[in-house]
Amino acid sequence: MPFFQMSKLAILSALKKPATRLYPFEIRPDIDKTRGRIELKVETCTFCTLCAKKCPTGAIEMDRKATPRVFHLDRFKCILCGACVEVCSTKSIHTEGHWAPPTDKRGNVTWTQEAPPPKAAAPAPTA
Amino acid sequence: MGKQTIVPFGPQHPVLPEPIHLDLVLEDEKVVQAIPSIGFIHRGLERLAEKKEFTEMVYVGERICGICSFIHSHAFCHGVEGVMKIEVPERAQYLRVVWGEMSRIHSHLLWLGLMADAFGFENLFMHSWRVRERLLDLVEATTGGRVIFGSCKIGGVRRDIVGGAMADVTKELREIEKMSTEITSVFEKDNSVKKRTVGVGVINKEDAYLLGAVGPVLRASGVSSDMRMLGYGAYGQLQFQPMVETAGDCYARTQVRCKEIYQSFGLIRQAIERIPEGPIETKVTGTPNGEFFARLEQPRGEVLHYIKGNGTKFLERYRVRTPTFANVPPLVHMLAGCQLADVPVVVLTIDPCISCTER
Repeated sequence: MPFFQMSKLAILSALKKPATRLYPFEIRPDIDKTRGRIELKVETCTFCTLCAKKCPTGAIEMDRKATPRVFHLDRFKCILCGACVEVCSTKSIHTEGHWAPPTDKRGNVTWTQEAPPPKAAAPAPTA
Repeated sequence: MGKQTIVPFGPQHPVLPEPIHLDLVLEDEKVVQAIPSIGFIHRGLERLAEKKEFTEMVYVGERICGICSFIHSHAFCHGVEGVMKIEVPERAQYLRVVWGEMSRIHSHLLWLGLMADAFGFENLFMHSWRVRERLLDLVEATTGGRVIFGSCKIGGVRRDIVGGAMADVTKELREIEKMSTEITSVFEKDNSVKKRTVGVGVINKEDAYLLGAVGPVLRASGVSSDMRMLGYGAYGQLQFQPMVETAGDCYARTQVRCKEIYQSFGLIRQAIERIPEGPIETKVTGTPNGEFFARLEQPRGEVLHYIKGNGTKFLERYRVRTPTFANVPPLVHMLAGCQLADVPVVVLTIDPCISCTER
């Protein structure tokens, strides 16, 4: 019966759990691969500026000559494309699954580095 | 002949997700003529191609539209790869098919919901979007984004679906397919749906072809035309046939989209079964010099990306002809002669995407 096609679906859905969540009491679990926000592990960053060059929106700015060295990220400009993550040779810059908290103020997120990371030790010569 | 009245439809209208304006010339309740006007959300993205490096334009290309985002980026990359004669690895081609078809399913489910909303079937609208939500979660789990996949790049793809993730995709798709069956059977059999769609907004095969209709609009009128049959990406190695209906009315266009959802599930399954191991990208060196027309099948129909490079890192010309633009003349033809109350349903059946059209 054509009419009961939708009625059946509606009744069955009424008996099921709702598809929506009771936010904020029930928060959606993060998905691992989500490009939620860009984060920097500043201790290992070499300040090579490759990420700043590759960023299509110019969201990354850094001053490698200053002491301490500073790394700025403008989250309002960032489109979370992951171009910076792709080029980072030390895997310092990475994406986190959870979104950045909302803000009503413009400004950069800044990381500072007191001392450059130690250079990787040369591999031991093989006999 | 009765007195003629002009009723403006849009640019802001409950049924329209995006702004398009139609001047409907009416005689009593009957539409005699529809005069469209577009241009409310022109963003000048094609001009931007002359100022952005061609590798960065992929991000802009992807943002032409929020629904066919992946296929726009695929089309742009396909165009640049055509100019630069880049061989894309097999695995990347298959991954592009998987994400392209996921994008088609979510677009069609979104459209089914909007269509149900257009003829006042709120319950069906909610059900369609509930199914779509599951698919968006799957897209997020494989690409990292729900709307902007950000996975296509010149020379391949950025991300891979590795290990057990591929089996999870298959398992989840099976469940989504089961849920979709419940929705599409309502669209197929329900009396209320049929009363609002059968025999409404008819366009015959000849008119559809002559007016340049594309995608489901053309296929619903009996023309077997699907750009995927050209064999771009990995489509050449997969078995499928275009979904064709002959009636040319709103019901036929709905049925074409319902069938395409299952066709896409089938194509993803085929792609997952045949996907080879190997690299997902090739290194791109040099700059594009030459021109290329990339013709791809979006959920709404054929999209055309024209790329012209001049040997520098900035493109000389980038032109996008989107399916909605091609479907506006057939829409005007369909509207002439229909009832005013049917206008939202008829407009919706071309699946208008104005962001795409105006770029």
